[in-house]
Amino acid sequence: MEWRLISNTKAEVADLYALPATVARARILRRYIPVLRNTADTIIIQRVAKKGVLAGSEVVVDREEAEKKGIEIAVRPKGGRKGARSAETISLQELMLKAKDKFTSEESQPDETAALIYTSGTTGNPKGAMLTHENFLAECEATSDIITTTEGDKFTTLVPFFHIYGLAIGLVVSLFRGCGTVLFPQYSPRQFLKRTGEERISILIAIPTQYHHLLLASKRRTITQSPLKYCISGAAPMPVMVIEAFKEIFGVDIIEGYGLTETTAAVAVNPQERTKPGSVGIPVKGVQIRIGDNQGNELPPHQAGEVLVKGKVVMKGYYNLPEETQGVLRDGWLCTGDIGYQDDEGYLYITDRKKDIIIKGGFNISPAEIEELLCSHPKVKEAAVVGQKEKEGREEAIKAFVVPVEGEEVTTVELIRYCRMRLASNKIPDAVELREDLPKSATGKVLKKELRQGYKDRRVIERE
Amino acid sequence: MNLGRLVEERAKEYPKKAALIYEGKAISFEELNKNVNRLANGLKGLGIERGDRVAIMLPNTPEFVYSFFACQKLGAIAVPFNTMYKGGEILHILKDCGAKAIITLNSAVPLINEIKPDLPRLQYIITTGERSLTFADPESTVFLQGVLSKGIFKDLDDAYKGIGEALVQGLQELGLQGVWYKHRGSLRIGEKKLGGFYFSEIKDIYILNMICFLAPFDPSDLFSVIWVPPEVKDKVLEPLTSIQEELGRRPSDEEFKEAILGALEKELGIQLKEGTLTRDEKSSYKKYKAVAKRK
Repeated sequence: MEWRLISNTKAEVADLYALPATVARARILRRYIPVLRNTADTIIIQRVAKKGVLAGSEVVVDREEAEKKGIEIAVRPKGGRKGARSAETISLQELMLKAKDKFTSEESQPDETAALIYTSGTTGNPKGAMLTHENFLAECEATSDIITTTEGDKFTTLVPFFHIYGLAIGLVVSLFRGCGTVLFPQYSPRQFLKRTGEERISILIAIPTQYHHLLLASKRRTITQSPLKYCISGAAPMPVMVIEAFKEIFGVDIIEGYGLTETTAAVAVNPQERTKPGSVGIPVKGVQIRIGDNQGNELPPHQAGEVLVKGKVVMKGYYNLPEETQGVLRDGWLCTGDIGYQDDEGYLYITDRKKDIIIKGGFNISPAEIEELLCSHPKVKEAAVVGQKEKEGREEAIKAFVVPVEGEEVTTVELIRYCRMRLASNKIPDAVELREDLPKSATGKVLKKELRQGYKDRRVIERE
Repeated sequence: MNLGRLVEERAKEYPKKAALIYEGKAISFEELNKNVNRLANGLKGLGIERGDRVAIMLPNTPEFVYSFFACQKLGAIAVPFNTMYKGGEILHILKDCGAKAIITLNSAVPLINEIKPDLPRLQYIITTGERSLTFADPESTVFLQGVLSKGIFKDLDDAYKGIGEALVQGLQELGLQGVWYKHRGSLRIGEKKLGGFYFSEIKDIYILNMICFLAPFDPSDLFSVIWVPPEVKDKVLEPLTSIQEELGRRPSDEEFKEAILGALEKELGIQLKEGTLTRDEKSSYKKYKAVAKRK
């Protein structure tokens, strides 16, 4: 059988769409208009003459920037109902179009699971936290004193809805309050600042790195008449500096909260008028927090131990993992795995993750303490410290990963000397590695597991 | 009270008020409720029931919101997860929760296709959104496309197998060792991706799209077109490789063409004859091109 071959080695990027679309159309028309010449099955081979991007119609591309870099842009038009679609898939739009707009809801009970949100541990696979209808609604109640709204308020969340913070606070709380939400499936800080004014966004939900990017994009000019009333930050610790700089430029407070996937987002929030820097605040309405020792006994103020949480926001358990669930849920108290303490007024301070603690010479060593010290070095931008097993022993060595400030040069010897002068001898890193950046999650948390020995990239597919 | 009921109540309280604002357009609470109902009916029609898990792999679009609350009205369990996840990560979640359906972007379909055979409980891939990004570079990319009658193949699996085998053969011909693909998956060497191919369908036609990396792809181009937070840049792309990296040299156009097309001819038992567009095709070609180039 003979097929047609079309070679186009000096293609424009638009050809990547136009050529196969043309041939396909002719093939379909032929069925209805018999006088059209029969075209054979066709193979097209293409190479472009210039750099280019073929973008789906919903992708917001920065044409200005692309032009600067000499990148040609073409848009793949909306397929529509009659367009080509991925083989053997169902179109959501078509599914909706054919369906009635009335539906009688199932009478889900408060303790039925509404969502499974997968969360990673230090090792092993992510576990599915079972969050119930009651969990989400309890989070709405718990934050009612903090996320105060009036009828005209508009929310926006730069945090993805697949993250519990984006989902529970950004989506469910805004809906619960009857407020509108401006959606940004994809954003750039510059574009977002523009839209904030246009859309009159009054409440912003974001994570520390996003606030940092917004600050950079504002070029440190004071933004007058920003419609923002206040902002919420969560998912990772917020540097006090960013809060202060943000207040100076945008004239609004960033309220910092603390929570976990297992607690349907926030369990503690720094109250707007009585903020304590360095603290993640006091428990939200209906949530109890206490600090426990290894046996689960409650510790007095200022003593560090594991943070325990109780309340209606605490998950039902991990999906299909009764043992893991029992390991973290005891008499309604969730063992968070975070290490911290409370002051006399009940303000919570998070100092470490339990899973991050390094055991060396029989002592518990806090990576956070070493990281903080390294970051205080003027040439250091970021640091992450992990424990590494020594050969055949249980003894751990301390390894520091350091990102220098851009344009600065720093040596590992210099950094170790810096630590030696300021830390107890057993806390001095055994090795320092300089890096351009640290691996981070979508919410900007340093992924320490990727820095540990023997880390395996879980994204890859294995060949059997 | 439950989350399904919450949408209904807000629709009654604030029917005309904007619930979602997307690309400058407002969707009122009443419309939101109706759209959620439509999708709930649609999913019910597919057999999604109370307690079933429905995975949602979408950015913050109205469709995410419809999907999440449609699950709530059905009493189904929504399983939203990171849109940046790749193969092994997605596989674990879908397997662990035993999702019956996944709602995702068109552009994520190849990722799901690759792992689908390991997911016997996954019955439906529901897609939305035109959010694909294809990068073309004179040095590093080459594209093989096809417009083929469905009848050439027994079924879609047969199409993937026929084309997949031919591509592996052709790449071997060029001297590449250990090229493999899994089911409807990407072409890989070791764990790294060398290229990908997938089929779209329209009526009785399959449209094949294949990209192959001839030389290393510079991802900085990507970041000048869309803004990506610097700290997640390395998570946007799968680990990639290219013929040049594997072979130590970049093949010429002629060499690549000869190897790949030769393998296609052999594997499919066809003959390829160099041709051009017909007169009828030429006029519609201009139209399609103008649409794609419109600003």
